Amino acid sequence: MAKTDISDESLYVSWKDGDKTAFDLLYERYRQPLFLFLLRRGHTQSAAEDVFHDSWMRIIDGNSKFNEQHFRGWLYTIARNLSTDLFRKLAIRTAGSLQDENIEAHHVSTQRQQEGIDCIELIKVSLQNLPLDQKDVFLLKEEAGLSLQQIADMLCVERETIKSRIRYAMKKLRDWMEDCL
Amino acid sequence: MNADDKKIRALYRLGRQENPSNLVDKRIKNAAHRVTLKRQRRWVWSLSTAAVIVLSFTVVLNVVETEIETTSNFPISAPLSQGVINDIAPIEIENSFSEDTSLTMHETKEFESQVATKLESRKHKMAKEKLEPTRNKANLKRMNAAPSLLTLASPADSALALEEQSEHLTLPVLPTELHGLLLLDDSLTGDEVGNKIQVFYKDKKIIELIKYRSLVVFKAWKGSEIISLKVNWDMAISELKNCEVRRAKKICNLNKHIQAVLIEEKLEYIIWEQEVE
Repeated sequence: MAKTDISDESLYVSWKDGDKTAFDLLYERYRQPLFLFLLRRGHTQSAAEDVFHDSWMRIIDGNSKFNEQHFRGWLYTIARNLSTDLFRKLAIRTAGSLQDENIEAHHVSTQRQQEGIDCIELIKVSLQNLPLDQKDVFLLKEEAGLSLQQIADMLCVERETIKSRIRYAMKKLRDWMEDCL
Repeated sequence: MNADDKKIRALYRLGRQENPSNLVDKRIKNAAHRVTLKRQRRWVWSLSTAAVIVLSFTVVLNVVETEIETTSNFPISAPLSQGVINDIAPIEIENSFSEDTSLTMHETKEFESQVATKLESRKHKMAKEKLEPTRNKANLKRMNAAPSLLTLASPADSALALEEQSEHLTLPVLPTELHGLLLLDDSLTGDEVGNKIQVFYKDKKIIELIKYRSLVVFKAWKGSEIISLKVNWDMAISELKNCEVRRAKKICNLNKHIQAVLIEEKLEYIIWEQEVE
């Protein structure tokens, strides 16, 4: 069996059994997606690195209870919780935006005009302006590759709620990126 | 998902450029490898500890076993203490029961009859050839024993027969090698494990010896008549003095060299020592 075919859970168990290459493989799988998840969630590069590091340390130290059924969900849950804790500490908005959507759209549009940013940068800026719950759903789908049901399980909400959040998120992104579409 | 959503997703993926710094990578991987190493060391340590424990236990067991075997026989110049009796009793009981109770009454009688027949035939043979059992004659060693208990089983040997009437009975000096013991009779079988030799007649243990540096400790069971050791296995227990009782076992000092072990008021086996020349 090729190493790429080995499940995350098997790699994790192998590493626990003393195979350090198993950890390296597991780390490579989630290195960029997890980091981007944190970065796009709204952290600076440095803060994202801190949370990223702490998340892996939780995995390594085994302080968090491993859900053998789903390593990916476990990893992203740890990262998301740590990220949320940091947001709280920094008093950054963590709940859904109370701002008027028009104000957000105006903000994105103005930012684009002022900075002359391209569409790739625009989507990054647009994501930053999404409410956190919608942003989470979008990122967990894109970066973690989780299904709607897995996201619903992870966030402890109904699948329909997740569907609504992703729908709202995509609608906002379409509005803000109209010129790029 | 409509076309616009696909474009949004595509744009998003195009912007996936950032990575954590190499320093973070290194720190995380090092931490993981350290944990792996620690676990491996813990595993090796556990295995080593387990191995040491097992080895220590084995050594202690061997030492205890050796001590029991040594103390289970009479100290040459000291009377048997209660401690020694207590130490040897359980093991001796186990040995005796496990070996002797495996025979049914019928089998026992048959065994005794076979031994008697064998002795009878040897007696005739020796009388006919006018030969004495040289091994006994040459190797006799005087040891004080209870008169009614131990005699040499060579009735053809008149000297010994006379001695049987006296207070000085003689035990044969038996070979201390398995090969030598087996030469005493064609029907004997035996095995040797470490310093312990066992001799069997018709699959029943009749002799066991344990070799020490300058001493060999013998044990003889019923049936040992076949190698010229005559023991009155049905002797009157009342004749025995200096007995110590522990559980179902009575250990009697016949003299300072010889010990009789009785179970349920029946003589099971005797123990004596023989110096290595």
